[in-house]
Amino acid sequence: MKILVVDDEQDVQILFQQRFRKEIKNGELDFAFAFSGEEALSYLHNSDQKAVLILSDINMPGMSGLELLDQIKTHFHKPPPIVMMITAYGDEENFNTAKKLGADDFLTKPLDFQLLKDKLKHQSV
Amino acid sequence: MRRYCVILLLFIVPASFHAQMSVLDSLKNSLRSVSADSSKLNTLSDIIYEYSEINWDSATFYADMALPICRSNKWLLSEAFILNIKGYVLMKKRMYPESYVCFQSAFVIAEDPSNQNKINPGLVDIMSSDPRLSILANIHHDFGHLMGTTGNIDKQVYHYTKTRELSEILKDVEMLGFVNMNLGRVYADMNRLDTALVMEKEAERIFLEANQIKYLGNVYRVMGNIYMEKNDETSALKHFHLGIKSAKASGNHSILGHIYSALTRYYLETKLDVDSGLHYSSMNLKVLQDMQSTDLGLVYTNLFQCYKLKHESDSAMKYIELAMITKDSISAQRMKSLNVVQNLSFDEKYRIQELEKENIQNQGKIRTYSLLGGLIFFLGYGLLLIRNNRKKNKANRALEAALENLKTTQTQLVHSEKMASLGELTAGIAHEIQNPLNFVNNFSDVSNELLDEMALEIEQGNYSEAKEILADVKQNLEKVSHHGRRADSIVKGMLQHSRTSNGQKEATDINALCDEYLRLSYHGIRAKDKMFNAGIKTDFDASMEKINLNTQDVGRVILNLLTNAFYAVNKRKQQAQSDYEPLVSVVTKNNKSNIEISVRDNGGGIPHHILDKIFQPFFTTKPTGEGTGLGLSLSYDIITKGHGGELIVNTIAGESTEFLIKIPK
Repeated sequence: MKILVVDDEQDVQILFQQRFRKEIKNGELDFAFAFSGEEALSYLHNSDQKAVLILSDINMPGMSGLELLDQIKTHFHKPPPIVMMITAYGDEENFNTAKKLGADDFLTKPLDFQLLKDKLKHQSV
Repeated sequence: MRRYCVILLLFIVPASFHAQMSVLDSLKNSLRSVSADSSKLNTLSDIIYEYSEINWDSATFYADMALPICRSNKWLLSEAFILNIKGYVLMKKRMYPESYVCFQSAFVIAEDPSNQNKINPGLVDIMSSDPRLSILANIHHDFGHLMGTTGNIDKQVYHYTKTRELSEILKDVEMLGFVNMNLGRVYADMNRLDTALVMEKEAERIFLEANQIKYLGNVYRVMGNIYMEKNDETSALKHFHLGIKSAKASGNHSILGHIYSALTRYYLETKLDVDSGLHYSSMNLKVLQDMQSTDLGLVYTNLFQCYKLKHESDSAMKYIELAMITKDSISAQRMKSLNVVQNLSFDEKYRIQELEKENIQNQGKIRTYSLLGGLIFFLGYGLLLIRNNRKKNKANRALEAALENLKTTQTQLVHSEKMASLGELTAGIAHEIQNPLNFVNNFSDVSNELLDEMALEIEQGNYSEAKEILADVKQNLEKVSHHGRRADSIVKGMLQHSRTSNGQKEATDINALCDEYLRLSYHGIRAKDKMFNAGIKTDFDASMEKINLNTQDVGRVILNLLTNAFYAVNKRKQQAQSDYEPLVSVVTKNNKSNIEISVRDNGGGIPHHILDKIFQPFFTTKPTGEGTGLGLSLSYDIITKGHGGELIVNTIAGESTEFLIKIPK
C-alpha cells in the first residue's frame, strides 16, 4: 500500500522509515514524504498511484493540513484517498473541523505507532 | 491690603459707609488745597487706601496720579508702596497680568537695600523703624493674594510665610494678624480646618487688641466658612453675623458682599429657605452696585436661583440673562487684559492658557443658550467665584489621585500586554512542544526495538547487519537529545517571556532568536485561526555574530512585530480577492556598526493619518479587547531607550509595511 506522509518536520521521514523497517523491507508498505501541503498536492497530481493513504499533520507553514484535506476531498475522487489527520492532543476544534471536512481517521501526537500499525492493517484488509 | 497711616485711624473710625464717604470728601478737599508733593502724595495714599475696598476704579485712578509724583521726586520706596496698592486693586479687578507686573516692579525696588531712604518724607515718620522691610512685607503679603487667586497655592503660602518672617523682625503685630487671617484661609481651603481655625482666632485676637477692624469682618467670614465645613451651622451663622457687623462698622463693602453671598448659599443650599436667600442676595447686589463693581455674575446667578425656586420665571429669566451678559463681558475684559501683557512668568502664561480655555468653553456653552445649560454652567461659575482656590485645590487633589490611578493602571496594562502576548505564545508553544516530544518518545521506542533486533543479529552472527542497526541507534539517540533540547529551549523561552526584564544584556544569536519567535508567533496565530496561512520568507545573514542585548526584551519586540504582520496579512486576505498571497518576511543583516532586523508584510499598509500615532501608548486599530495598544509603544521603548537603537517604519498604503530594527553593536 502506498502511504503519503505530510509533515513539515523533516525527521518524520527517518522515524517512519525506522518504525516500519520490516514492512518496507518485505514490500508491505511503500512510503512517500511531503514536507508541506503544497508538496503533497503536487505529489498527488503527478502520481497515478491507485491505493493511496494520506497521513497529514495539521499545523504547517503555508497550506495547513486542513486546507490540504479540503483540497483532497474536493478534487480527488477516483479513487478517493483515505486521509488520516494527526492532531495535537486535546485540540477539539481542529478535530471537529477535520471531521467536517471529511477526514477518515485521527491520530494524536505523540504518535502511537502500534496503534497506527493496527489501523493500517485494518485499512489494507 | 493694610495701611500704614496711623493718623487716619485716629480721626476716622467710620461707623457707616456715609462716614467713610465724608472722609473721602475731606481727603479730596485737602488734595485740592495742598501743593507740596510730599503732602499731596500722603493725601493720595490715604485716598487710594480708602478706595481700595470701596471702588477699585477710583483707587486705580488715584494710584496713577500718585506714581508720577513718586518718580519725579525719586521716592522709590513710595513708588513701591503705591505700586503694591495698585497691584492689589488690579488683582481685585481681575487684571492679573497687570497686577503681576505691578508687584514685580514693587519687589525690585523694595528688595534693593540701597533704596532704604528713598521715601516721601511725610511717610517716614509714620512708618515703622524700617520702612523698606515694612513695604517689602506688604508686597509679599499682597503678592501672596495674587498667587492664591491665580491658583499658585505653594507660592501663596511661601509669600505669606515671608511676610510673617518680616513682621516678626519688624515686631509688626498687626501684620501678623493679617498673615494669620490669610494663612488661615489657605489652610481652610486645604481642608486643614483646625489649623485654620487656630490661625483665624489668633488674627481675631490681634485685630481686636490693636483696634484694627477693617479686615476683622473677613476673619469672621473665614471662620464662618470653616464652621460650615465642620457642619457646625450655629457657629457658622454666628460668625457670619459678627462679620456683617464688623464689615459695616469698618466700611469694608467688599467683605460685606462676600458675607452676603456666603449667607445666600447657606440659606439656599443648607436651609432651603428661599426667602432668606433672596434677602441676602438682594443685599449683596445693592452693596456691589454701590461699589460700582462689575463682578456681578455670582450675585445674578444667586438671584436667578432664588427666583427659580420661587417659580417666578420672569425674574429668573431676567437674572440669568444678566448673569450671562456679565459673565461674557468679564470674560472678554479678562481676555483683553490678559493679552496686553507680555513677558510674564511661566506660571502666569499657564494661567492665561487656562483662562483662554475657560473662555472658549464658556462661549460654546452660551451659544447653546438653553435654560438648563445656563443653570448648570452658571452654578459652576458661581461656585468658581466663591471658592476659587478651594476648587482648584480640590481639582488638584483629584488630579493627583487620578494621576496615581493612571500610573497603577499603566503598570497593570503593561503587565496585561505581556500576558496577552504570552497568551498568543501559549498556543504556539503547545504545538511546538508536541513535535519534539513526538520525536523523543518515538525515537527512543524505536531504538529499543532496534537494540532487540541487533541482539538477534549478533546471536545469528550477522555482524554487518548489527553494525547497520548500531549506526541507526546512534543517529536516533542524537535525534532524541536534539529534540529534547528543542523542547527545553521552548519552555525556557516561555518562562523568560513571562518574567520581568532584569535589564541584563547577554550575547544573543539574532538569527536563532528571529527563527524561534517566527515559529512561535506563526503557530500561535494558526492555533487561533485554523484557516489562516501565510507564506514565510526568511533571509538570515550568515555572517551574523552574537550581539549583546536583552534577549527577552528584543524577543518580545520581534514577536510583537510578527504578530502585527500576521494580523495585517490575515486581515487583508479576509477582504481581498482570492489571488492575494499573504507573505511575511524576516531579514537580518550584519552591518559594520549595527545589525538590522526587518519584519515585512504585504498586508494593507498603515494609513498615512495614523502613522504618527502608532508608537503612542494605547493606540490600536484592533477591535476593543483584542489589542492593548501597548505593543509598538513598548517595542519602541525597548529598542530606542533600552538599546540605543532605532525602530523605523516604512509603509506603502495598500501594499506593504516594513518595521526595521537597528541596534548598534
